[in-house]
Amino acid sequence: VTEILSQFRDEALPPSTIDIDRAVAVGRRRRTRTRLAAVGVVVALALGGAATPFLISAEPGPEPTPPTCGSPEPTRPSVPTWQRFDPLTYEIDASGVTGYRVTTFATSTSAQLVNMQPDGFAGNQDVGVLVLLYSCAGQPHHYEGERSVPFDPGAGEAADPIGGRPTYWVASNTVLPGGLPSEGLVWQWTDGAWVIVLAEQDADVTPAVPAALRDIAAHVAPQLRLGVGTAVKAPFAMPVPEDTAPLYTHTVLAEDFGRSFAVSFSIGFDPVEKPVPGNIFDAYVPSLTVTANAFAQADDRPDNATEYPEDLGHPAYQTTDTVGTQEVDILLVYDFFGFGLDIKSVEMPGATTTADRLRQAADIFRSITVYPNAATDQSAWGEPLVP
Amino acid sequence: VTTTDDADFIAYVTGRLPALRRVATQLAGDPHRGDDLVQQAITRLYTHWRRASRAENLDAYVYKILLRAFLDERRRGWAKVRLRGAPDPEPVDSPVTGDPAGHVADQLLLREALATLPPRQRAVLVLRFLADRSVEEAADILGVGPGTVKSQTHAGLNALRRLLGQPTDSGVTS
Repeated sequence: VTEILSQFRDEALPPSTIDIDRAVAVGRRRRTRTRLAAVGVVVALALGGAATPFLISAEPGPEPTPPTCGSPEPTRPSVPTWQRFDPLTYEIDASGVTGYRVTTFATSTSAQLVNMQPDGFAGNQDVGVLVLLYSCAGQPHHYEGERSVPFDPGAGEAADPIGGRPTYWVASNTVLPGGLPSEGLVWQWTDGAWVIVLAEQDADVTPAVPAALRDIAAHVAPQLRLGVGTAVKAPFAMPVPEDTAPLYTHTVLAEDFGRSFAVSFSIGFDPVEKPVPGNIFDAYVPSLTVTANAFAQADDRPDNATEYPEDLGHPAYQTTDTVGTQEVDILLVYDFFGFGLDIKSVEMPGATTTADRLRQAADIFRSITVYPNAATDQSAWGEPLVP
Repeated sequence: VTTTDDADFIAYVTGRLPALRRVATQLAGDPHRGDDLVQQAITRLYTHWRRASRAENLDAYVYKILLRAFLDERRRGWAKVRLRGAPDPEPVDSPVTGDPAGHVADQLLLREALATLPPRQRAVLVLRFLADRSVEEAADILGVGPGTVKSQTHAGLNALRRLLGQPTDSGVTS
């Protein structure tokens, strides 16, 4: 038997139907798509990449007078109402969702985001689940063609209530950019604030079945815990840059055949006097963003990066990128306790030129402390900010 | 992934395609579904190429992806089969002969028999005897211990022998 099995090595097969170019094209699209869904523009602007609109938005304008929404109300003094989120606190707990693992957490003042993938070998690996949790000031948007516009989530087809609240199906292909088939549920998790749970499928590989996507959304949605208030943890600690406040955080996790590990962590800041942005993930670039990536290596640096002239004790480079109409100055530092670090700077207080911003980024770099073993052990992560 | 990475990826996949197709064909049971598995696997490989290309054993990494696609597909299809009530596999019509000239017929019979094995048993046999992976490598690829690979190999070979009307290790025929 083993001899015959080994004879299959010499077996003549019919002409191949495998298309390597298609694998490259689909794979590239998937990588882009993953970055986009996971990150939003702020972080998705992989160096050299193009800005792409995303969907989380809050109504622009002055800070509303609280509280006009949110029942039940938050139970934490740090978050007096659900009008805004604290970007250093997770409000989505997806740890109880069976069969799925979290790949991305993102926080901001107006909305929070979690991406999930089927766990291990279970389920269809081409399906992803996205949870978007809005604060009361957050406004769900969807796409009409290329434009992201506010929509009424409660206008869809009625679904089974979740948590006793009226729940609706979200129409396919409208909430996310990119045109992937998707089906989702939406309901008010607290008075005046919506949450969307969306199952989407990479139909390039497996044909999407809307009923199956609805089943996935209906499986995930009731298992979420919302408004939980868990502290954000980071692989490094840094002081808050002068005259700024934290605006968002973003954590990317990955799994490789059963082993879960963290890939990257980002934190963004804006000047305190700057109005809270209407569209944090919609082509908005915070004044300062610090990212630590456990897989970034000097070989990955963009082609236009040049050596940073000052000795920072680690391989360091500088480069620029354009997001929308904004020029972003970037300091890149590699082999930093297992991380590649990048510090993106736009309009920081006290820095008006590229040289100013890079010098300021270098000062910020020197103030960063990496938690021991943080690059390989997420349990070693701690608070992102030091007084 | 840069253009250079693309070139590396294309060069690697082009070189390994014949071996991947042969393994996938035996896993899937026919070359067309095998090609579908390879297409899925190399697409996934591309999305992780920068990391994968630094793996100590890239071939093992790729086999992992291929096996994952195969087992995932089997799992989805298996539920449907069970709903209908899967019959026990029957011995195939003709015994395997020792005639070298008849090895094509032998292969056809063996492929039919292989297709009746549980997916993980089939995967173990294909990895061990077609992809030439050691017990330890097969264990790593499948995410199980070496002991499991050995027992699955033993059980799988005996099952094939029974299906082909050959004596098993314990001398029992069916």
